[in-house]
Amino acid sequence: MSYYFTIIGTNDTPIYELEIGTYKQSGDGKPNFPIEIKEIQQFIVNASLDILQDVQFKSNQIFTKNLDSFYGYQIYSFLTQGNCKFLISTNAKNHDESIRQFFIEINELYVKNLLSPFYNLNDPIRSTGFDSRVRMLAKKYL
Amino acid sequence: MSLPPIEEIYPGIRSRYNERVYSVFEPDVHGPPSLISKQIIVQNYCPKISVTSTRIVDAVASSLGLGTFLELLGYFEHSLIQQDAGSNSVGAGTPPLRLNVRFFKPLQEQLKEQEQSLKLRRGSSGGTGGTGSSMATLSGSGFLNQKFTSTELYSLTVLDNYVNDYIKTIDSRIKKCQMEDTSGSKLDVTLLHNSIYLNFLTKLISSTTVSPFECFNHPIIQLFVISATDDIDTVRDLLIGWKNYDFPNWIDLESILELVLIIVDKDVPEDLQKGLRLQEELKLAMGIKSSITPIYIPKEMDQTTETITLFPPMYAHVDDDLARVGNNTGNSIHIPKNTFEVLFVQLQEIIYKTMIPYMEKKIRIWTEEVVTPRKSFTGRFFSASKKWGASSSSSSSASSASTTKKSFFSFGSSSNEKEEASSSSSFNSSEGYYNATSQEMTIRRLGDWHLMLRDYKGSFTTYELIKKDFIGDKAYAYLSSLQEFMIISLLIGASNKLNPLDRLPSSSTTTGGITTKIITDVINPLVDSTYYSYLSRCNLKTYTIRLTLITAELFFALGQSTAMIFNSNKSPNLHLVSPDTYYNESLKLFKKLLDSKLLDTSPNAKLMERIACIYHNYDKPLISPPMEKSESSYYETENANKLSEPDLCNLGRSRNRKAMMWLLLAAKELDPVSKPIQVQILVRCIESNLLSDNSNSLWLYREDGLLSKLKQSLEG
Repeated sequence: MSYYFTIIGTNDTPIYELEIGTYKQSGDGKPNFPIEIKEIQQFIVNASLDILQDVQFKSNQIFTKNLDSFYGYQIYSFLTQGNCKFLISTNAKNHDESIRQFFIEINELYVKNLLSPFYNLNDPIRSTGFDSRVRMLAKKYL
Repeated sequence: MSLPPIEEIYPGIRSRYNERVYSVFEPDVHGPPSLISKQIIVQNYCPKISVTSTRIVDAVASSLGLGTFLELLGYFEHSLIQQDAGSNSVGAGTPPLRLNVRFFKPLQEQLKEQEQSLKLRRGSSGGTGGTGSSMATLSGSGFLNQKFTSTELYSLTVLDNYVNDYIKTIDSRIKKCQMEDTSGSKLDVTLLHNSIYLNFLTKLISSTTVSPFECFNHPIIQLFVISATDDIDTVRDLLIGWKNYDFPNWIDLESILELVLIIVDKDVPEDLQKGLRLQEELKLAMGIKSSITPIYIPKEMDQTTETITLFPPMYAHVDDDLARVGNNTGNSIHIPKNTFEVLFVQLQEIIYKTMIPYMEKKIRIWTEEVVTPRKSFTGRFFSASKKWGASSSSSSSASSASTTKKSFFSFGSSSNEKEEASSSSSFNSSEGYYNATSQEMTIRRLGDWHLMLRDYKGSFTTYELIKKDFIGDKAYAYLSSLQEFMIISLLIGASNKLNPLDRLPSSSTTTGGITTKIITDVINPLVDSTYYSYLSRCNLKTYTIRLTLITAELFFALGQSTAMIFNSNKSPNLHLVSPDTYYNESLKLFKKLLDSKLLDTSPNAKLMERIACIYHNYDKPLISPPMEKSESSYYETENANKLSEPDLCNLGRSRNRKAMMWLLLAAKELDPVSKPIQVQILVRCIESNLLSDNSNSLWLYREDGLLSKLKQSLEG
């Protein structure tokens, strides 16, 4: 099971990306996307933004499971209050709740990052601290 | 040097109907408007005329540069199609203003060819072959007894070759157009690119295969074309050969109208006398009516002769098209204008004065004979009694036609006893077909004829009558085909009511189209069961493809028409289903067809492009009420971090990013090495979409991403 996680800024451009595998079920945490999916991964996620834009004003939920799917890969999404989007594309099944928890914690991290005086909205997040914390969360939940 | 017109490549590219559609929908490189594909589907199910000609008549055709007279008539199909500008007449019973026909080779030849291909298929799959094995696995389901009697519509490998060849032709032309680089040539590129899908669709749905379970390819008219110089014996042989041929039981010769056309050379004065004499002899000796057509037969084509350009038939069989390409006979032919006019008038007379009245008369007769008794209360009561009474005998041995156990409920049916007995077992389950004269097949034929005359309500109600009989007899091929055309009638009927080319009645309440409930409760279960039945029970791949593609296209047509009407008509009386519902159904079916892996790479790529086209059309036409721009405040002009306000009317309607993904997949499937021009068009399309999107798209151009890989191989 592999996960592709990305944070999309308010202008629909990515500000953080991570490809990670599961540590559960004796996984080693390395992603193993097939090449056909890997080369269009960005397009799959980008395409799901269309659906997200459609549903985000129709319901009051901020977490959407099965937002979109592409040949066995499900897209999960989470909307922050500032219209920033967290998206996960994965082939893992029945991990809705853990993905939701992961998003909630990421949101906290993101907000803390946003508070930094050296960070502007929609800038790419290059902080190594942020990255290692995200990885830890992924290890914990995914 | 100026290029020849693009009609040379795809004749119908700028037909009157297409021009009308393009006046509403702008030509778009993403794909042709669905109304054009709908028209292709509608015109595909037209009446068929099979043509037999004598040698002398074929010689006339060869003086015009063609092999047979049938080929010559084939070139008239396009002119007939041109006349149909797409005005709908929805009323029941009223024939449409203009109807096209298709000309087929004689039924005997067609059947022989099918038999041969069937033998090949059986042989290639090893003796009893794949069909045998599929029968074994289905033992006990009633299919076991069904002998394999139906041929595929066309060969899938041939189709793939054809699509590849056609793409090559288009590519070489596009290359020339790109060199010119004018606005006209840009439009040509778009139209040519779109013609690939249209041609592919035409070939996927059309066929000349005569099958026992549907009557669309059974000719309505058998046309004998003879020359005035033919002697009566030749003509007699021709007619007797047709009548005495051992046709299978599932072909109803009685419903085929025989017509004799005598061709007379206008330049030879005594020819007309001969023709009249032959006509008289035919009437006296054989009781056959005939008509005379004096035509101008060119002995030598010189520069002064006024000619007219004719294009090959659009719906020609893939094999015929490939043969034409192989022979280098070119696409268009030039024949003298007066020859064309005389023949064209004659054909129109045959269609409008003979064929359509004949069909209407037959429809009336069959309705009275078969449909009315079924619909009446007593008819229903007796059919129920027949079912209960015959159940014991049919379960023990379905093929025993004579053993009909008389049930208690069969009282009062004594006068029709014989007929009832035969109709209760009209399905020959050992051979797997219904007799052509059986009630079921008469009703089926009636439905098909309704559909050919474009009365979709009539065809749907007629088909509904026999559905239960087919289920009862476990005649799965018949059932699947019936269900397929039930879906088609329903969808075309619905979309005809919502034609953006026609003016909608503004005063009355418009509830055209089909509701979500009909889609989920009627159409979807029908499509699923038919799909399964075609593919798994009958092993008919081409029919499965046809079903899925037509249904998907018709859903798309419904969606696009609804969207257009929504936008142009803001009347409160308008109660329509959201176009998205139709688009979603269409997408589901296209993806189903892709996942079925029935088609090869190039056709699959075309399907992917079509999916992209549907996604691209999601938000078209844009809703654009006059938005009053408020004076921008300091915060909006100076603060870069201020969220820009999106176009709120259209927010969330677009699926352009989805379209881009599918275009990319299509480009990958097409392969940049073998079809660089097609891939280039698609990549440009993606890039123009990315440019129009305001977001930063750098992440889509990653080096390990597909888009940059494709770009690299195009540049390399």
